Amino acid sequence: MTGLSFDQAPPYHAVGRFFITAPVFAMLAALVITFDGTLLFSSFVNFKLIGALHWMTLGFVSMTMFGAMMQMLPVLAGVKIGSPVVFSFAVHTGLMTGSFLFGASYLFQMQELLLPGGALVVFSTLVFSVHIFYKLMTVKNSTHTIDAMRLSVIALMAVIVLGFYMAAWRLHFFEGLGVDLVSVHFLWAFVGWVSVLVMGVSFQVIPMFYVSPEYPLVFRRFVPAGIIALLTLYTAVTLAPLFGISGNTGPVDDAGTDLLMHFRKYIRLALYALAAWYAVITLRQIGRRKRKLPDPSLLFWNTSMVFLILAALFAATMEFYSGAGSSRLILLTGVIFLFGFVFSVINAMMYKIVPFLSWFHLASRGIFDAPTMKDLLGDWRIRLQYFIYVVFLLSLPFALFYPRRGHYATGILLFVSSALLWLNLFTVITKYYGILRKPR
Amino acid sequence: MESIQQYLTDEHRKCDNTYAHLEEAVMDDDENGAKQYCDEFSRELLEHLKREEDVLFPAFEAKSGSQMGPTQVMKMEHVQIRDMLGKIVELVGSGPAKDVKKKLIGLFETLMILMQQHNMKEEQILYPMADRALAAELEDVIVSMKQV
Repeated sequence: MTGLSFDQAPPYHAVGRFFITAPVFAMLAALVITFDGTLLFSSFVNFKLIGALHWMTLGFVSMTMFGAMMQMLPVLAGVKIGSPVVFSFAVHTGLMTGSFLFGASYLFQMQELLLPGGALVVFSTLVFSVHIFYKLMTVKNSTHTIDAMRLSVIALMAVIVLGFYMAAWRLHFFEGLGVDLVSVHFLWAFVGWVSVLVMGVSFQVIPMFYVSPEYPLVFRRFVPAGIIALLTLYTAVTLAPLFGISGNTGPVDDAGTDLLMHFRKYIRLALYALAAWYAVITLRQIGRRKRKLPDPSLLFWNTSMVFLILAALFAATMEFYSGAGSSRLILLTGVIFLFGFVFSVINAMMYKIVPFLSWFHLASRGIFDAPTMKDLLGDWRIRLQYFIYVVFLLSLPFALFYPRRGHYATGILLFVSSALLWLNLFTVITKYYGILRKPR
Repeated sequence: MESIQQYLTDEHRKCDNTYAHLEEAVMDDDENGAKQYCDEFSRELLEHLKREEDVLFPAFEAKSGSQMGPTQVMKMEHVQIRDMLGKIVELVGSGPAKDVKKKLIGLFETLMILMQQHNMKEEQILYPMADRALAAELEDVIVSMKQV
Protein backbone atom coordinates (compact mmCIF):
# COMPACT_ATOMS: atom_id res chain seq x y z
CA MET A 1 0.00 0.00 0.00
CA THR A 2 1.22 3.45 -0.84
CA GLY A 3 1.97 5.01 2.49
CA LEU A 4 2.07 8.63 3.37
CA SER A 5 4.76 9.10 5.89
CA PHE A 6 7.06 11.80 7.06
CA ASP A 7 10.18 10.06 5.88
CA GLN A 8 8.57 10.11 2.48
CA ALA A 9 9.30 13.81 2.16
CA PRO A 10 12.95 14.03 1.08
CA PRO A 11 15.27 15.59 3.67
CA TYR A 12 15.57 19.37 3.56
CA HIS A 13 19.11 19.42 2.19
CA ALA A 14 18.29 16.88 -0.55
CA VAL A 15 15.96 19.41 -2.17
CA GLY A 16 17.50 22.66 -0.97
CA ARG A 17 20.83 22.00 -2.70
CA PHE A 18 19.19 22.20 -6.13
CA PHE A 19 17.61 25.57 -5.38
CA ILE A 20 20.66 27.19 -3.85
CA THR A 21 22.89 26.08 -6.74
CA ALA A 22 20.66 27.27 -9.59
CA PRO A 23 20.99 31.06 -9.22
CA VAL A 24 24.79 30.71 -9.31
CA PHE A 25 24.51 29.45 -12.89
CA ALA A 26 22.30 32.42 -13.77
CA MET A 27 24.99 34.69 -12.28
CA LEU A 28 27.65 32.96 -14.38
CA ALA A 29 25.58 33.40 -17.53
CA ALA A 30 25.06 37.05 -16.58
CA LEU A 31 28.82 37.55 -16.33
CA VAL A 32 29.25 36.15 -19.83
CA ILE A 33 26.61 38.53 -21.17
CA THR A 34 28.30 41.45 -19.42
CA PHE A 35 31.76 40.72 -20.74
CA ASP A 36 30.84 39.59 -24.21
CA GLY A 37 28.72 42.09 -26.08
CA THR A 38 28.40 39.93 -29.15
CA LEU A 39 26.79 37.10 -27.26
CA LEU A 40 23.21 38.01 -26.57
CA PHE A 41 22.20 39.20 -29.98
CA SER A 42 24.85 37.88 -32.26
CA SER A 43 23.67 37.31 -35.78
CA PHE A 44 24.36 33.58 -35.71
CA VAL A 45 24.43 30.76 -33.21
CA ASN A 46 27.99 30.66 -31.94
CA PHE A 47 29.82 28.45 -29.49
CA LYS A 48 29.83 31.01 -26.71
CA LEU A 49 26.09 31.29 -26.96
CA ILE A 50 25.72 27.52 -26.74
CA GLY A 51 27.89 27.53 -23.61
CA ALA A 52 26.08 30.33 -21.80
CA LEU A 53 22.70 28.96 -22.89
CA HIS A 54 23.44 25.57 -21.34
CA TRP A 55 24.56 27.15 -18.10
CA MET A 56 21.05 28.59 -18.00
CA THR A 57 19.04 25.63 -19.28
CA LEU A 58 20.92 22.89 -17.43
CA GLY A 59 22.41 24.75 -14.48
CA PHE A 60 19.44 26.96 -13.72
CA VAL A 61 16.29 25.59 -15.34
CA SER A 62 16.72 21.81 -15.09
CA MET A 63 18.43 22.19 -11.70
CA THR A 64 15.36 23.89 -10.19
CA MET A 65 12.90 21.63 -12.02
CA PHE A 66 14.63 18.55 -10.61
CA GLY A 67 14.53 19.91 -7.07
CA ALA A 68 10.90 20.93 -7.40
CA MET A 69 9.85 17.55 -8.81
CA MET A 70 11.61 15.70 -6.01
CA GLN A 71 9.70 17.80 -3.54
CA MET A 72 6.33 17.66 -5.27
CA LEU A 73 6.09 13.99 -6.20
CA PRO A 74 5.48 12.66 -2.70
CA VAL A 75 2.79 15.32 -2.16
CA LEU A 76 1.15 15.17 -5.59
CA ALA A 77 1.46 11.50 -6.35
CA GLY A 78 2.33 9.74 -3.12
CA VAL A 79 5.45 8.27 -4.64
CA LYS A 80 8.57 7.84 -2.64
CA ILE A 81 11.96 8.42 -4.16
CA GLY A 82 14.26 5.53 -3.38
CA SER A 83 17.21 6.58 -1.15
CA PRO A 84 16.55 10.30 -1.61
CA VAL A 85 19.89 11.32 -0.08
CA VAL A 86 22.03 9.25 -2.45
CA PHE A 87 19.77 10.02 -5.41
CA SER A 88 19.84 13.75 -4.75
CA PHE A 89 23.59 13.75 -4.19
CA ALA A 90 24.33 11.85 -7.40
CA VAL A 91 21.94 13.85 -9.58
CA HIS A 92 22.83 17.22 -8.11
CA THR A 93 26.60 16.73 -8.15
CA GLY A 94 26.51 15.26 -11.65
CA LEU A 95 24.30 17.99 -13.03
CA MET A 96 26.20 20.81 -11.35
CA THR A 97 29.66 19.64 -12.38
CA GLY A 98 28.51 18.46 -15.79
CA SER A 99 26.65 21.68 -16.64
CA PHE A 100 29.62 23.76 -15.61
CA LEU A 101 32.13 21.76 -17.65
CA PHE A 102 29.80 21.44 -20.63
CA GLY A 103 29.11 25.18 -20.77
CA ALA A 104 32.78 26.01 -20.20
CA SER A 105 33.88 23.72 -23.01
CA TYR A 106 31.93 25.82 -25.50
CA LEU A 107 32.56 29.19 -23.87
CA PHE A 108 36.32 28.82 -23.63
CA GLN A 109 36.77 26.58 -26.65
CA MET A 110 38.16 23.80 -24.48
CA GLN A 111 37.06 20.74 -26.34
CA GLU A 112 38.68 18.46 -23.77
CA LEU A 113 35.98 19.45 -21.26
CA LEU A 114 33.16 18.41 -23.56
CA LEU A 115 33.53 14.69 -22.95
CA PRO A 116 33.55 14.75 -19.11
CA GLY A 117 30.96 17.55 -19.02
CA GLY A 118 28.65 15.90 -21.52
CA ALA A 119 29.03 12.51 -19.86
CA LEU A 120 28.13 13.91 -16.44
CA VAL A 121 25.13 15.77 -17.84
CA VAL A 122 23.85 12.68 -19.63
CA PHE A 123 24.47 10.54 -16.55
CA SER A 124 22.67 12.83 -14.10
CA THR A 125 19.73 13.70 -16.34
CA LEU A 126 19.23 10.07 -17.35
CA VAL A 127 19.37 8.82 -13.76
CA PHE A 128 16.83 11.45 -12.84
CA SER A 129 14.47 10.96 -15.77
CA VAL A 130 14.48 7.18 -15.76
CA HIS A 131 13.92 6.91 -12.01
CA ILE A 132 11.25 9.61 -11.91
CA PHE A 133 9.49 8.24 -14.99
CA TYR A 134 9.37 4.79 -13.44
CA LYS A 135 7.96 6.26 -10.23
CA LEU A 136 5.38 8.28 -12.14
CA MET A 137 4.23 5.18 -14.00
CA THR A 138 3.52 3.40 -10.69
CA VAL A 139 0.97 6.05 -9.66
CA LYS A 140 -2.47 4.48 -9.51
CA ASN A 141 -4.75 7.50 -9.51
CA SER A 142 -3.31 9.62 -12.24
CA THR A 143 -4.38 13.23 -12.63
CA HIS A 144 -3.87 15.65 -15.46
CA THR A 145 -0.91 17.03 -13.55
CA ILE A 146 0.71 13.62 -13.28
CA ASP A 147 -0.06 12.87 -16.95
CA ALA A 148 1.67 16.12 -17.90
CA MET A 149 4.65 15.27 -15.69
CA ARG A 150 5.00 11.89 -17.38
CA LEU A 151 4.94 13.54 -20.80
CA SER A 152 7.43 16.18 -19.77
CA VAL A 153 9.86 13.53 -18.52
CA ILE A 154 9.51 11.70 -21.86
CA ALA A 155 10.34 15.01 -23.53
CA LEU A 156 13.37 15.35 -21.26
CA MET A 157 14.58 11.96 -22.41
CA ALA A 158 14.22 13.05 -26.03
CA VAL A 159 16.23 16.18 -25.22
CA ILE A 160 18.98 14.05 -23.68
CA VAL A 161 19.16 11.65 -26.63
CA LEU A 162 19.30 14.50 -29.15
CA GLY A 163 21.86 16.40 -27.08
CA PHE A 164 23.96 13.28 -26.73
CA TYR A 165 23.83 12.78 -30.49
CA MET A 166 25.00 16.32 -31.18
CA ALA A 167 27.80 16.25 -28.61
CA ALA A 168 29.00 12.84 -29.81
CA TRP A 169 28.97 14.10 -33.39
CA ARG A 170 31.00 17.14 -32.36
CA LEU A 171 33.47 14.81 -30.65
CA HIS A 172 33.73 12.89 -33.96
CA PHE A 173 32.45 9.66 -32.46
CA PHE A 174 30.61 9.11 -35.70
CA GLU A 175 29.68 10.79 -38.91
CA GLY A 176 26.67 13.08 -38.68
CA LEU A 177 23.33 11.92 -40.01
CA GLY A 178 23.20 14.88 -42.33
CA VAL A 179 20.04 16.41 -40.88
CA ASP A 180 19.90 19.47 -38.67
CA LEU A 181 18.59 18.42 -35.28
CA VAL A 182 19.22 21.69 -33.42
CA SER A 183 15.63 22.90 -33.66
CA VAL A 184 14.34 19.44 -32.70
CA HIS A 185 16.53 19.41 -29.56
CA PHE A 186 15.54 22.97 -28.77
CA LEU A 187 11.78 22.44 -29.20
CA TRP A 188 11.72 19.23 -27.16
CA ALA A 189 13.58 21.10 -24.40
CA PHE A 190 11.65 24.36 -24.29
CA VAL A 191 8.17 23.28 -25.34
CA GLY A 192 8.20 19.62 -24.33
CA TRP A 193 10.22 19.38 -21.12
CA VAL A 194 9.86 22.86 -19.64
CA SER A 195 6.48 24.11 -20.87
CA VAL A 196 4.55 20.87 -20.41
CA LEU A 197 5.93 20.53 -16.88
CA VAL A 198 4.99 24.11 -16.04
CA MET A 199 1.51 23.49 -17.45
CA GLY A 200 1.03 20.34 -15.40
CA VAL A 201 2.16 22.03 -12.21
CA SER A 202 -0.04 25.05 -12.81
CA PHE A 203 -3.13 22.84 -13.29
CA GLN A 204 -2.59 21.93 -9.67
CA VAL A 205 -1.14 24.96 -7.93
CA ILE A 206 -3.01 27.87 -9.55
CA PRO A 207 -6.47 26.67 -8.44
CA MET A 208 -5.20 25.55 -5.03
CA PHE A 209 -2.90 28.35 -3.96
CA TYR A 210 -4.90 31.23 -5.37
CA VAL A 211 -8.39 29.74 -5.03
CA SER A 212 -9.26 30.10 -8.69
CA PRO A 213 -11.44 27.92 -10.95
CA GLU A 214 -9.94 24.76 -12.45
CA TYR A 215 -8.34 24.97 -15.89
CA PRO A 216 -10.79 23.94 -18.63
CA LEU A 217 -11.01 20.15 -18.84
CA VAL A 218 -10.42 20.11 -22.60
CA PHE A 219 -7.22 22.04 -22.12
CA ARG A 220 -5.90 19.81 -19.35
CA ARG A 221 -6.77 16.67 -21.21
CA PHE A 222 -5.54 17.46 -24.68
CA VAL A 223 -2.97 20.24 -24.74
CA PRO A 224 0.04 18.56 -23.03
CA ALA A 225 -0.56 15.37 -25.03
CA GLY A 226 -1.10 17.43 -28.19
CA ILE A 227 2.23 19.17 -27.70
CA ILE A 228 4.07 15.87 -27.35
CA ALA A 229 2.27 14.50 -30.43
CA LEU A 230 3.26 17.57 -32.44
CA LEU A 231 6.86 17.30 -31.29
CA THR A 232 6.95 13.64 -32.28
CA LEU A 233 5.57 14.52 -35.70
CA TYR A 234 8.10 17.32 -36.02
CA THR A 235 10.92 14.90 -35.25
CA ALA A 236 9.61 12.39 -37.78
CA VAL A 237 9.34 15.03 -40.50
CA THR A 238 12.85 16.26 -39.76
CA LEU A 239 14.24 12.73 -39.96
CA ALA A 240 12.21 11.85 -43.08
CA PRO A 241 15.01 12.59 -45.58
CA LEU A 242 17.07 9.85 -43.91
CA PHE A 243 14.46 7.39 -45.07
CA GLY A 244 14.48 8.64 -48.60
CA ILE A 245 11.40 10.81 -48.22
CA SER A 246 11.90 14.08 -49.97
CA GLY A 247 9.69 17.10 -49.88
CA ASN A 248 11.23 18.75 -52.88
CA THR A 249 8.88 19.33 -55.72
CA GLY A 250 11.17 21.72 -57.55
CA PRO A 251 14.90 22.13 -57.99
CA VAL A 252 16.75 20.73 -54.96
CA ASP A 253 18.34 24.04 -54.00
CA ASP A 254 15.02 25.88 -54.02
CA ALA A 255 14.12 25.77 -50.34
CA GLY A 256 10.83 27.51 -50.93
CA THR A 257 9.33 24.47 -52.56
CA ASP A 258 10.39 22.02 -49.89
CA LEU A 259 7.13 20.61 -48.55
CA LEU A 260 8.80 19.08 -45.49
CA MET A 261 10.13 22.46 -44.54
CA HIS A 262 6.68 23.97 -44.83
CA PHE A 263 5.25 21.16 -42.79
CA ARG A 264 7.80 21.79 -40.06
CA LYS A 265 6.97 25.47 -40.08
CA TYR A 266 3.26 24.81 -39.53
CA ILE A 267 3.99 22.40 -36.69
CA ARG A 268 6.09 25.09 -35.02
CA LEU A 269 3.27 27.60 -35.47
CA ALA A 270 0.83 25.18 -33.87
CA LEU A 271 3.18 24.79 -30.89
CA TYR A 272 3.46 28.57 -30.47
CA ALA A 273 -0.33 28.84 -30.61
CA LEU A 274 -0.77 26.23 -27.86
CA ALA A 275 1.82 27.98 -25.68
CA ALA A 276 0.06 31.32 -26.12
CA TRP A 277 -3.30 29.72 -25.39
CA TYR A 278 -1.92 28.33 -22.15
CA ALA A 279 -0.64 31.76 -21.14
CA VAL A 280 -3.95 33.46 -21.91
CA ILE A 281 -5.90 30.87 -19.91
CA THR A 282 -3.50 31.14 -16.99
CA LEU A 283 -3.82 34.93 -16.88
CA ARG A 284 -7.59 34.52 -16.95
CA GLN A 285 -7.54 31.94 -14.14
CA ILE A 286 -5.37 34.23 -12.03
CA GLY A 287 -7.69 37.14 -12.78
CA ARG A 288 -10.66 35.08 -11.57
CA ARG A 289 -9.01 34.04 -8.31
CA LYS A 290 -10.97 34.44 -5.11
CA ARG A 291 -7.90 34.97 -2.98
CA LYS A 292 -7.22 38.70 -2.90
CA LEU A 293 -4.26 38.81 -0.52
CA PRO A 294 -1.37 40.60 -2.25
CA ASP A 295 1.13 37.92 -3.13
CA PRO A 296 4.49 38.72 -4.74
CA SER A 297 4.58 35.30 -6.40
CA LEU A 298 1.69 36.49 -8.57
CA LEU A 299 3.89 39.26 -9.96
CA PHE A 300 6.19 36.57 -11.30
CA TRP A 301 3.32 34.43 -12.63
CA ASN A 302 1.75 37.35 -14.48
CA THR A 303 5.04 38.54 -15.90
CA SER A 304 5.86 35.04 -16.94
CA MET A 305 2.63 34.60 -18.88
CA VAL A 306 2.82 38.00 -20.56
CA PHE A 307 6.29 37.17 -21.80
CA LEU A 308 5.21 33.73 -22.95
CA ILE A 309 2.56 35.39 -25.13
CA LEU A 310 5.16 37.85 -26.41
CA ALA A 311 7.62 35.05 -27.19
CA ALA A 312 4.94 33.08 -29.05
CA LEU A 313 3.88 36.12 -31.09
CA PHE A 314 7.48 36.96 -31.87
CA ALA A 315 8.31 33.40 -32.85
CA ALA A 316 5.25 33.20 -35.10
CA THR A 317 6.12 36.49 -36.77
CA MET A 318 9.67 35.35 -37.39
CA GLU A 319 8.38 32.32 -39.31
CA PHE A 320 7.22 34.75 -41.99
CA TYR A 321 9.97 37.33 -41.83
CA SER A 322 13.39 36.72 -43.23
CA GLY A 323 14.53 40.30 -43.82
CA ALA A 324 17.33 42.30 -42.25
CA GLY A 325 18.36 41.25 -38.73
CA SER A 326 16.07 38.24 -38.70
CA SER A 327 18.58 35.91 -37.07
CA ARG A 328 19.10 38.44 -34.28
CA LEU A 329 15.38 38.69 -33.78
CA ILE A 330 15.07 34.90 -33.61
CA LEU A 331 17.65 34.93 -30.81
CA LEU A 332 15.67 37.67 -29.09
CA THR A 333 12.65 35.36 -29.17
CA GLY A 334 14.62 32.66 -27.37
CA VAL A 335 15.87 35.20 -24.87
CA ILE A 336 12.33 36.43 -24.17
CA PHE A 337 11.14 32.86 -23.71
CA LEU A 338 13.97 31.83 -21.43
CA PHE A 339 14.30 34.96 -19.32
CA GLY A 340 10.75 36.28 -19.59
CA PHE A 341 8.72 33.11 -19.22
CA VAL A 342 10.87 30.33 -17.74
CA PHE A 343 13.05 32.34 -15.37
CA SER A 344 10.03 34.17 -13.98
CA VAL A 345 7.85 31.13 -13.37
CA ILE A 346 10.76 29.39 -11.63
CA ASN A 347 11.13 32.38 -9.32
CA ALA A 348 7.43 32.19 -8.46
CA MET A 349 7.80 28.50 -7.67
CA MET A 350 10.95 28.78 -5.55
CA TYR A 351 9.52 31.62 -3.47
CA LYS A 352 6.67 29.33 -2.45
CA ILE A 353 8.59 26.11 -2.04
CA VAL A 354 11.70 27.17 -0.11
CA PRO A 355 10.03 29.20 2.67
CA PHE A 356 7.24 26.64 3.03
CA LEU A 357 9.64 23.71 3.21
CA SER A 358 11.67 25.49 5.86
CA TRP A 359 8.60 26.19 7.95
CA PHE A 360 7.25 22.68 7.40
CA HIS A 361 10.44 20.89 8.39
CA LEU A 362 10.72 23.06 11.52
CA ALA A 363 7.07 22.59 12.48
CA SER A 364 7.30 18.87 11.85
CA ARG A 365 10.12 18.68 14.37
CA GLY A 366 7.75 19.99 16.96
CA ILE A 367 9.00 23.58 16.80
CA PHE A 368 5.52 25.08 16.90
CA ASP A 369 6.68 28.67 17.29
CA ALA A 370 8.54 28.32 14.00
CA PRO A 371 8.58 31.62 12.08
CA THR A 372 5.96 31.80 9.32
CA MET A 373 6.91 31.95 5.66
CA LYS A 374 6.75 35.72 5.64
CA ASP A 375 9.00 35.91 8.72
CA LEU A 376 11.51 33.70 6.94
CA LEU A 377 11.44 35.86 3.82
CA GLY A 378 9.85 39.31 3.90
CA ASP A 379 7.73 40.29 0.91
CA TRP A 380 9.82 43.40 0.33
CA ARG A 381 12.88 41.27 -0.44
CA ILE A 382 10.95 39.38 -3.10
CA ARG A 383 9.56 42.63 -4.50
CA LEU A 384 13.01 44.22 -4.67
CA GLN A 385 14.37 41.26 -6.61
CA TYR A 386 11.31 41.32 -8.85
CA PHE A 387 11.81 45.02 -9.57
CA ILE A 388 15.42 44.52 -10.68
CA TYR A 389 14.39 41.50 -12.71
CA VAL A 390 11.76 43.53 -14.56
CA VAL A 391 14.24 46.32 -15.27
CA PHE A 392 16.51 43.61 -16.68
CA LEU A 393 13.71 42.40 -18.97
CA LEU A 394 13.04 45.94 -20.12
CA SER A 395 16.73 46.39 -20.87
CA LEU A 396 16.68 43.57 -23.41
CA PRO A 397 15.49 45.65 -26.41
CA PHE A 398 18.04 48.26 -25.37
CA ALA A 399 20.80 45.68 -25.66
CA LEU A 400 19.42 44.79 -29.07
CA PHE A 401 19.43 48.31 -30.44
CA TYR A 402 22.66 49.42 -28.78
CA PRO A 403 24.74 46.28 -29.09
CA ARG A 404 27.97 48.09 -28.24
CA ARG A 405 26.94 49.30 -24.81
CA GLY A 406 23.55 47.83 -24.00
CA HIS A 407 24.86 44.46 -22.93
CA TYR A 408 26.66 45.95 -19.93
CA ALA A 409 23.40 47.10 -18.40
CA THR A 410 21.59 43.88 -19.30
CA GLY A 411 24.32 41.62 -17.97
CA ILE A 412 24.74 43.55 -14.74
CA LEU A 413 20.99 43.70 -14.12
CA LEU A 414 20.66 39.95 -14.67
CA PHE A 415 23.60 39.40 -12.35
CA VAL A 416 22.16 41.57 -9.58
CA SER A 417 18.72 40.02 -9.93
CA SER A 418 20.10 36.47 -9.80
CA ALA A 419 22.39 37.36 -6.91
CA LEU A 420 19.42 38.74 -4.97
CA LEU A 421 17.48 35.58 -5.71
CA TRP A 422 20.38 33.58 -4.35
CA LEU A 423 20.64 35.83 -1.30
CA ASN A 424 16.90 35.53 -0.61
CA LEU A 425 17.06 31.74 -0.71
CA PHE A 426 20.27 31.73 1.29
CA THR A 427 18.63 33.89 3.97
CA VAL A 428 15.78 31.43 4.38
CA ILE A 429 18.10 28.44 4.52
CA THR A 430 20.40 30.13 7.04
CA LYS A 431 17.45 31.03 9.24
CA TYR A 432 16.25 27.44 9.02
CA TYR A 433 19.53 25.99 10.22
CA GLY A 434 19.87 28.75 12.83
CA ILE A 435 16.53 27.85 14.40
CA LEU A 436 17.20 24.15 14.11
CA ARG A 437 20.49 24.43 15.98
CA LYS A 438 19.18 26.72 18.68
CA PRO A 439 19.22 24.79 21.95
CA ARG A 440 15.74 24.31 23.39
CA MET B 1 -23.67 7.86 -5.91
CA GLU B 2 -21.48 10.37 -4.13
CA SER B 3 -17.94 9.25 -3.39
CA ILE B 4 -15.78 10.09 -0.40
CA GLN B 5 -13.52 11.85 -2.87
CA GLN B 6 -16.29 14.17 -4.12
CA TYR B 7 -17.83 14.85 -0.74
CA LEU B 8 -14.63 15.75 1.09
CA THR B 9 -13.02 17.54 -1.85
CA ASP B 10 -16.09 19.80 -2.04
CA GLU B 11 -15.61 20.55 1.63
CA HIS B 12 -11.98 21.53 1.00
CA ARG B 13 -13.11 23.98 -1.69
CA LYS B 14 -15.80 25.40 0.56
CA CYS B 15 -13.23 26.03 3.31
CA ASP B 16 -10.91 27.65 0.75
CA ASN B 17 -13.65 30.05 -0.28
CA THR B 18 -14.44 31.13 3.24
CA TYR B 19 -10.72 31.43 3.93
CA ALA B 20 -10.33 33.78 0.95
CA HIS B 21 -13.15 35.95 2.37
CA LEU B 22 -11.47 35.98 5.77
CA GLU B 23 -8.17 37.05 4.27
CA GLU B 24 -9.86 39.79 2.28
CA ALA B 25 -11.72 41.11 5.31
CA VAL B 26 -8.47 41.32 7.30
CA MET B 27 -6.73 43.01 4.36
CA ASP B 28 -9.53 45.60 4.16
CA ASP B 29 -9.50 46.22 7.95
CA ASP B 30 -13.11 45.03 8.05
CA GLU B 31 -13.19 44.00 11.69
CA ASN B 32 -16.74 42.67 11.76
CA GLY B 33 -16.32 40.81 8.49
CA ALA B 34 -13.10 39.29 9.75
CA LYS B 35 -14.75 38.03 12.92
CA GLN B 36 -17.73 36.66 11.03
CA TYR B 37 -15.63 34.84 8.40
CA CYS B 38 -13.19 33.65 11.03
CA ASP B 39 -16.05 32.01 12.97
CA GLU B 40 -17.42 30.51 9.78
CA PHE B 41 -14.06 29.22 8.58
CA SER B 42 -13.14 27.84 11.97
CA ARG B 43 -16.45 25.97 12.20
CA GLU B 44 -16.22 24.55 8.67
CA LEU B 45 -12.63 23.50 9.05
CA LEU B 46 -13.01 21.89 12.48
CA GLU B 47 -16.12 20.01 11.36
CA HIS B 48 -14.27 18.72 8.33
CA LEU B 49 -11.31 17.53 10.41
CA LYS B 50 -13.69 15.88 12.88
CA ARG B 51 -15.54 14.04 10.08
CA GLU B 52 -12.28 12.58 8.95
CA GLU B 53 -10.93 11.77 12.39
CA ASP B 54 -14.13 10.37 13.88
CA VAL B 55 -15.53 8.50 10.90
CA LEU B 56 -13.31 8.17 7.87
CA PHE B 57 -9.95 7.39 9.46
CA PRO B 58 -11.21 4.74 11.90
CA ALA B 59 -13.24 3.05 9.13
CA PHE B 60 -10.24 3.09 6.84
CA GLU B 61 -7.88 1.87 9.55
CA ALA B 62 -10.23 -1.00 10.36
CA LYS B 63 -10.13 -2.06 6.71
CA SER B 64 -6.39 -1.64 6.22
CA GLY B 65 -5.63 -3.10 9.64
CA SER B 66 -3.12 -0.40 10.47
CA GLN B 67 -3.12 2.87 12.34
CA MET B 68 0.40 3.65 11.21
CA GLY B 69 -0.42 4.11 7.54
CA PRO B 70 -1.45 7.25 5.70
CA THR B 71 -4.00 8.28 8.32
CA GLN B 72 -1.20 8.67 10.85
CA VAL B 73 0.44 11.41 8.78
CA MET B 74 -2.87 13.09 8.07
CA LYS B 75 -3.62 13.25 11.79
CA MET B 76 -0.25 14.80 12.50
CA GLU B 77 -0.91 17.44 9.88
CA HIS B 78 -4.33 18.06 11.40
CA VAL B 79 -2.55 18.90 14.65
CA GLN B 80 -0.44 21.46 12.80
CA ILE B 81 -3.50 22.89 11.04
CA ARG B 82 -5.44 23.21 14.32
CA ASP B 83 -2.46 24.89 15.95
CA MET B 84 -2.25 27.52 13.17
CA LEU B 85 -6.02 27.99 13.22
CA GLY B 86 -5.90 28.58 16.98
CA LYS B 87 -3.32 31.33 16.52
CA ILE B 88 -5.41 32.97 13.81
CA VAL B 89 -8.65 32.85 15.83
CA GLU B 90 -6.85 34.41 18.79
CA LEU B 91 -5.38 37.23 16.72
CA VAL B 92 -8.61 38.02 14.89
CA GLY B 93 -10.33 38.24 18.27
CA SER B 94 -7.68 40.56 19.66
CA GLY B 95 -8.60 43.53 17.47
CA PRO B 96 -7.41 45.54 14.53
CA ALA B 97 -3.96 46.71 15.64
CA LYS B 98 -1.47 47.10 12.81
CA ASP B 99 1.08 44.54 13.97
CA VAL B 100 -1.75 42.07 14.50
CA LYS B 101 -2.64 42.44 10.83
CA LYS B 102 0.94 41.85 9.78
CA LYS B 103 1.17 38.74 11.93
CA LEU B 104 -2.14 37.49 10.60
CA ILE B 105 -1.06 37.85 6.99
CA GLY B 106 2.10 35.88 7.78
CA LEU B 107 -0.02 33.12 9.32
CA PHE B 108 -2.51 33.18 6.43
CA GLU B 109 0.13 32.46 3.84
CA THR B 110 1.64 29.60 5.81
CA LEU B 111 -1.68 27.99 6.75
CA MET B 112 -2.81 28.29 3.13
CA ILE B 113 0.11 26.28 1.80
CA LEU B 114 -0.01 23.87 4.72
CA MET B 115 -3.69 23.17 4.01
CA GLN B 116 -3.21 22.91 0.26
CA GLN B 117 -0.35 20.45 0.36
CA HIS B 118 -2.34 18.47 2.92
CA ASN B 119 -5.42 18.57 0.66
CA MET B 120 -3.36 17.41 -2.32
CA LYS B 121 -2.25 14.34 -0.40
CA GLU B 122 -5.78 13.57 0.72
CA GLU B 123 -7.44 14.22 -2.62
CA GLN B 124 -4.90 12.37 -4.68
CA ILE B 125 -3.88 9.55 -2.44
CA LEU B 126 -6.01 9.00 0.63
CA TYR B 127 -9.55 9.59 -0.69
CA PRO B 128 -9.17 7.34 -3.75
CA MET B 129 -7.70 4.64 -1.47
CA ALA B 130 -10.59 5.08 0.95
CA ASP B 131 -13.16 4.94 -1.86
CA ARG B 132 -11.68 1.61 -2.94
CA ALA B 133 -11.20 0.14 0.53
CA LEU B 134 -14.64 1.18 1.76
CA ALA B 135 -16.56 0.51 -1.46
CA ALA B 136 -18.98 -1.88 0.26
CA GLU B 137 -20.04 0.54 2.98
CA LEU B 138 -19.55 3.81 1.13
CA GLU B 139 -23.05 5.11 1.75
CA ASP B 140 -22.94 4.42 5.48
CA VAL B 141 -19.59 6.14 5.84
CA ILE B 142 -20.78 9.24 4.03
CA VAL B 143 -24.02 9.39 6.01
CA SER B 144 -22.08 9.03 9.27
CA MET B 145 -19.71 11.80 8.21
CA LYS B 146 -22.62 14.11 7.45
CA GLN B 147 -23.97 13.52 10.95
CA VAL B 148 -20.79 14.64 12.68
